[in-house]
This record gives sequence, structure tokens and C-alpha cells, in this order.
Amino acid sequence: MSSHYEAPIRKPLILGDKSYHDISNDIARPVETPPDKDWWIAFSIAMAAFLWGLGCMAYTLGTGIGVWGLNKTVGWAWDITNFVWWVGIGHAGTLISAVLLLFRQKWRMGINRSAEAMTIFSVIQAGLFPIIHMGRPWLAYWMFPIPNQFGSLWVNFNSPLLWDVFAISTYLTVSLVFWWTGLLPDFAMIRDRAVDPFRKKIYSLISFGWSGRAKDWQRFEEVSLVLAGLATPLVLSVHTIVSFDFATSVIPGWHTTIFPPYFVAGAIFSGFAMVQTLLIIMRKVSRLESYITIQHIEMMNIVIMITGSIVGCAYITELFIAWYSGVEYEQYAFLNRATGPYWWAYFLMMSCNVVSPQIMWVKKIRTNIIWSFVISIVVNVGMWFERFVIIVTSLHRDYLPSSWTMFSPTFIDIGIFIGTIGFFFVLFLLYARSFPVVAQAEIKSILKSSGEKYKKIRDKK
Amino acid sequence: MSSKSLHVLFDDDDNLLDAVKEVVKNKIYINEVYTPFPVHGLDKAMKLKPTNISIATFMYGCVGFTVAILMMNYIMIVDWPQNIGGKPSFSFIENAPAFVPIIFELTVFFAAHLMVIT
Repeated sequence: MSSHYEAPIRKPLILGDKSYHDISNDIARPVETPPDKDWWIAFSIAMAAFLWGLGCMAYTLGTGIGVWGLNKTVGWAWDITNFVWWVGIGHAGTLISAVLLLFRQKWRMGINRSAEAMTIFSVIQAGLFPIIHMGRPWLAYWMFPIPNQFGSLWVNFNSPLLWDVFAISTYLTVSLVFWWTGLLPDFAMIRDRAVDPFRKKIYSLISFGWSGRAKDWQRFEEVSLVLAGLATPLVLSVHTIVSFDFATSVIPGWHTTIFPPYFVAGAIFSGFAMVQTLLIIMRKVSRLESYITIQHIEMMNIVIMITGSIVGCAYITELFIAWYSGVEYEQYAFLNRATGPYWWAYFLMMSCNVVSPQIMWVKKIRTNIIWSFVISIVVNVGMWFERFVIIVTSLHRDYLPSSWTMFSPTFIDIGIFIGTIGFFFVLFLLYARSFPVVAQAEIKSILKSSGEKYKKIRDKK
Repeated sequence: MSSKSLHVLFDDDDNLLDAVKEVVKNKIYINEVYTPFPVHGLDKAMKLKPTNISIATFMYGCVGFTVAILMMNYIMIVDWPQNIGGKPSFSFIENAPAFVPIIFELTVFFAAHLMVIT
């Protein structure tokens, strides 16, 4: 038992009297049993929202971007707000799986699979917005530096929008291979349990013939570690580059050097809130309370609280720097945010993002499931408004007062946003029914050190 | 080497690890060990060679780094230099700060994907 020693002060990460076989059963259960009525209801609602969104997208593409609420002054609004919101949500998945792996935080093992799934699905939603905004999405390949028939016309590598193309596509594909590498042994487990030959065939295809040889495991662990090492700077770079879309412009309220760290903290903040929302439902529905424990929820709440404080600190720093810089336009931009016509959005952002996570200091609240769920939703709303405030309030009153205007979304704007939420949940619900939602191979490797049963045996000795 | 072979099943990772150590000590050849989850220390106990994959990944990253620099140098400096927002475009070094994000992204892209494929 000596090799499985863990300090008694650490609480068990796997609750209940679990053996290795129980873990396999618990994790394979949602995949092997048919979905119940609740799943179908949730799936139908998500599908309806998605189809509604598809209709709005088709209308946008058929008629033109004019169907959105954009005008000459506010040329960017809901589309980029939603884009940044979704990319930000994606960040938590990589953070949990890569950064916490490097720090050897074992509590990540219960939640990393779902968090990574969330990353991939939300980056897909994010990617939709710039592509729709092109108006002619079938020409999206023009973003890549491909030799072409227009003379030697190349893409502009000086543009932060092109940096985004590279950042987001690298991020999406690297997250995908990271996720899939971790999935191989778990798909193989489901394959080995499958009785239905068709199911067996599918899972053996997607597990790429995993057999569990000692050498495979050695390579597997090395690849996971190196990928985590690569993904860590990658995840920080992605939101940094997203913030460059704003920071490299000369709009007051955007042109600040604080943007990259501020955006990254905000991304982690909103992403953890989304993971929290999803997992609180999932642990209940898929009966995974033994693997996603109150302790996991508490840990995530602590991360939300800390990153929320960082974000709050960034808001205040921005205000201070605007005043201290002595730049009239910069000062007005911030005054206008807080007291102008969009004061309510600023107020929502401040109260949801800065004030609400602070109540997590109370242990009773951060270990309470209902409270955690409510706060995670509030934070998601707040982070959407943060992007809205940054984007729209900076644009709607620019340098020239004669072009000042307001922005109001059309039902198409709203429809596309609802559609992406629907699409996200369609993907996530399908995932919850066909993928092993907890990294069972990793959980098994810590069962003896962090399982409740084994801890008790050790304590008796 | 004898032609006899044994198939052994274990239901506990600690027993397996002890047995592997014992077998290796007696210089008996182990063909393969299959486990349903990673058993730490098994590769060392079996005297498996450590993998070179991290070194390979570093080289893949270097490839990505080089590709990014050559591509952007050709496209932005050699083939068609343009004045975009007053950013200097006469030599690679002058324009380099704007290229850093893409150099970084391509380095990671090449390193990660080529590693997983190998």
C-alpha cells in the first residue's frame, strides 16, 4: 500500500464503497442504457432552439447582414459579443485538463472529460459567428494563405483578425486531439463491454485499436503530459489574441494593455461557471455523485471566486488608468459606460461578476449545490454583459458626436444567439449519452490513494 | 530461452507490480503486460525503454516555427509588401512583432498534431 499513500488530511475524491468494476459500471451506464424521458425533453428543447437559430442564420445569409441590428457606428455587437463569450467559456476545459495536470491536481480527474467536451462544443459555437458575419461563408477559405488566382493576393498577417483565425483553429484542433487521446482507453473499455456487434464495431473504430499494453500506457502518459505542456501556453495565447482584436485598435476603452490578462481571467471565470452549471446537472442525471463530489464543486467555486476577484480588480484598474492617463476620450468612455445610456448593462456586469462570486467566501454557500448553480448562471449572464459593455459602449459614442447612436438587437440577432445555445446543448446531450463522461482509466489509477474505501482501510491500520 | 510460456491474470495492481519485479529479477522474458488503467512504475519495473516522443515533439515544434517564419517572410515581405496601417513592411525584422502570434500558434499546431500522429 505504500505506493498509494496520500496524506490523511486530503478528503477522498471518490466516495462510496467502490471497486474497480463498480467504476466501469457507473461510467458505462449512461452509454449502455437507453435515454429516459427527461433526456428526450431536454434534447427536444435544445434541438428546437438550434433549428430556430439555423433559420435565423439562413435568413441572414439569404438577405444580408442588414437584418442584424448593426449600424454605421456600432458595426460590431452581438456577433462578436457571442463569439468572445463562447471562446471564453471554452477556456475552462483546457485549463482543467492541462494546467491542473501540470500541477498534479488530482481533483481534475472527475471533471476533465466533460470540461474538455464543453471546450470543444463552445469553440464550435464561437467559430460560427465570424463565419456568419462574413456574409458569404462559402468563401471562408479565403482566410487561409492559399496561393490563388487573384494575382498574388495574400491574407494580411498584420491583422489581429487573422491571428484569431490561426489561434482559434489551432485551439480547436489541439483540444480535440487532447480530448480524444484521453478518450482512447475509455472507448476501449466500452468496446470490451459491448454485446451488440454494431456498437462494438463503432467503439473499436473510435478507440483506434487500443489494447492497454504497458508500452501503450507509457506513451499515453507521456503524450498527455507533453500535450498538457503545449496546451497551457496555447490556452493563454488564445484569449490574449482574442483581446488583441480590441486592444490593437484605437477606440477608447479598447486600446489598453491590460486587455490580455484581463480577458484570460474573464475567460477562466466564465468557463468555470459553465462547467459548474453543466456538471451540477450531469452528476445528478447520470448518477455520478461519487466521482463529481461536493469537494469538486467547492474547488470550482474557489476558482470562480478568485478569477472573479481578478476580473473585478481589472475593472477598477481600467477606471483608475482612464482617469490617471489624462486622456479625455478614454475618461469619457469609462464615464459613459457607468453613467451613460447603457448604465444598466454596466451595473449588471459589476453586480454579477464582481459582487456575486464574493459570497463564495462563506463555506456554507460554496458547498451548497443550489447556491453554486444559481451563482454559476449569474456569472454566465454577467460575463455576457461584460463583453457587451466593452464592445457596444465603446463604439456607440465614438470620437465624432454627430455619429453617436444606440444599438438594439433584432430578433435575428437574438435568434442566432439562442440557436448557438441550443446547438451547444444538443452536442452536450449527445455526448452525455455516447461518451464515457468521466476519465475512468485515470480515476482507477487514483482509487487506491483517494478512494473513500481505501482511505478507511488505511486509517484503521 | 525456454519455449514454455505462461499467461497470468492479476486482480490487483500491487500484486501485478510485485510479480513483474520478481519475474524480471529472475531474468524471465516478459512478452507483454495488459492493464485496464495506467499502473505507475510498471514501465520501469519491466525495464521498458523511456520514450523519445518529447524530443520528437520539440523538433516538430521547430519545424512549425520555421514554416511560419518562411511563409510570412515570403508572403508579407518578398512577394507583395504592402503598407498596412503604417506598419513597416520593408524587412522581416521590422515587421516581426506582428508575426509573433502566428509563429507561436503554428509552432504549437505542428508540435501537437505531429506528436499525436506519431
